Amino acid sequence: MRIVVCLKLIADPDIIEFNINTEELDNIHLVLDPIDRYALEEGLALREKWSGEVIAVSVAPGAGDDILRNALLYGADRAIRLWHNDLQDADTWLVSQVIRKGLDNIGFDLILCGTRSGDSSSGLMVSALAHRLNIASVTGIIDLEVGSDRKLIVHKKLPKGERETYSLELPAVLGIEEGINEPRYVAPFSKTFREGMKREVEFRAVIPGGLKGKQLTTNLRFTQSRPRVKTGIDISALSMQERLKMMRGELGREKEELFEGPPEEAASKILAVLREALK
Amino acid sequence: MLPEVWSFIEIEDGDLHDNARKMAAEARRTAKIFDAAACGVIFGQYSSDALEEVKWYGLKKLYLFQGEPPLSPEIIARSIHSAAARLSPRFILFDSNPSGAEVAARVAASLERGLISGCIDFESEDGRPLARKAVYDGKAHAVCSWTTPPPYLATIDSSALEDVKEKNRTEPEIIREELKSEICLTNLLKKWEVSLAELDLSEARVVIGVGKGVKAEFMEAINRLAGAIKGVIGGSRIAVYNGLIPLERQVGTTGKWLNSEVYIAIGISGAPQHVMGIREVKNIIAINTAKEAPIFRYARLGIIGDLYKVVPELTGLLESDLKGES
Repeated sequence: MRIVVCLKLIADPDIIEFNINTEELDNIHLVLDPIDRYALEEGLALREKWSGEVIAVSVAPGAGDDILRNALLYGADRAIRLWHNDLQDADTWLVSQVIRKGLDNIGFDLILCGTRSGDSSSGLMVSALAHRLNIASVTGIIDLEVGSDRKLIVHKKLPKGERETYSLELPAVLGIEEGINEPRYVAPFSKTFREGMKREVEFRAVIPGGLKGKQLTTNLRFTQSRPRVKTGIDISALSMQERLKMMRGELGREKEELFEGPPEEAASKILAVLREALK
Repeated sequence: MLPEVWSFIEIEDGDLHDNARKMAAEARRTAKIFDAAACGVIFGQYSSDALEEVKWYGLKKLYLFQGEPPLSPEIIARSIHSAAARLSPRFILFDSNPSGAEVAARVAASLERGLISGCIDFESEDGRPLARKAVYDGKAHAVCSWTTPPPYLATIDSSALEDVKEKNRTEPEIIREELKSEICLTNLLKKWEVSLAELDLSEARVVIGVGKGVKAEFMEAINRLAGAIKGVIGGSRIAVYNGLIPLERQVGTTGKWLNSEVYIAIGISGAPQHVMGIREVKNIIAINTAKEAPIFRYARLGIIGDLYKVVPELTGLLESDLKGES
């Protein structure tokens, strides 16, 4: 089974900051999108079970070599970087086109991506790839089994403990959800690591012609984050404390109540709140 | 004729749920911003109650796609695609939950139209629609726009949605559309729920938190409460140290971050690192003997009293409540 894992190079969401003065993003430190580690691990685990090959692919400038080299050290068989300078501000749709072109002469049974990215979280990549390649796809995968006859059974994670089970046939694109597995630790100078060190990251320049003007959305500027002003709230009438609450999205919460009294009454008060909250 | 704003209103078990009502309101709100007509897009089997309720949101048209649930995102997306290609709405809006996000992405890919995900707000700049969305876990917002002609696709972040009814009921025009369920590449086999015992804390609707104030021999009573309320038991770091709960049930900065409807803090004082983990909880109920416990500052309902008396009392009430229902 040949498994392609798409890896995204993003600015570390934990340390990036919005600079209010310059209105730009500061503290940009490029890392592998955390959710992609789960996709890579799933690919490696599937290869161990079904044998085959794991190919890590990333559409990234030179800095992307680092995350691809890491993928090799973790056990990927090949790592391919796709890039052209015109792709600097490319949206998901355009990047999906680049990946499709990059996979032209490679062939695959399964493509794994993170369900959504840690930077723009458009959540479009899986569906875009599936559409371009005309193959099956499901996002939000929290569990997957490969059966006989190239059949896949996958479980999609929905909120509050709900799940959906799908069947589909290979080839397919799957959006992997965080928590599907425990990404492995590969010790430095272990066998896997040393074998990974021998491999090189391959580079493929994508032909820019035919790619331009293929964006569907554009990012105009960054602003400070602020929640939507809800209906019926007059900001000018709010106190400083209420404005801070609004910033945190806490405005308009139910009134707080403290109760001291006999346990029976306390219990019925709790019950009333529960009934209202869970209706 | 006004351009149309379509909103995907998700029906669950025939009924309109919280987010469905909010998505109906969102159609109206977006329609107001862009001077358009709000329309609802509904799939599956819907009760007449659900259809009555949706009339409170000022929708001009309702597109109904009737079919036997569960309908896969693929079937829904193919059906919306075919209706949208024919009727060319200006906007198509979706909830940003996993189902809405997948349907939106599929429709965007097949129509080759722009999708902006997790929108916080919309505005019109010289007639050009702009969307503001969170990037990098909300560290900043990005102002984005569509570079393709309509329909403009968007998913709306749940923090931005609100349930706003109109003053008067309106009678929307009902339009029946056909499901496109042929040539599907995915097959939705079933919908199910993870059992309470295996449910992760971050996914639970109701969480009971135990802390320093709870003795090991009282855990049986807590378990009974959890059973009666269909909740999952978690707790503070001290509860882990005292062996009341396993490590993966710890709530707080070094443990799990909750997103539940209800959190009942029992014998928890409310240390900052614990409180961080319950920030997103909608209703916090705290039971503690100490009046000055910081947890009360975050609680919607604070009970100053003996948890060893209140908990059995509450369990009793809940259990008799359940009996009364069945």
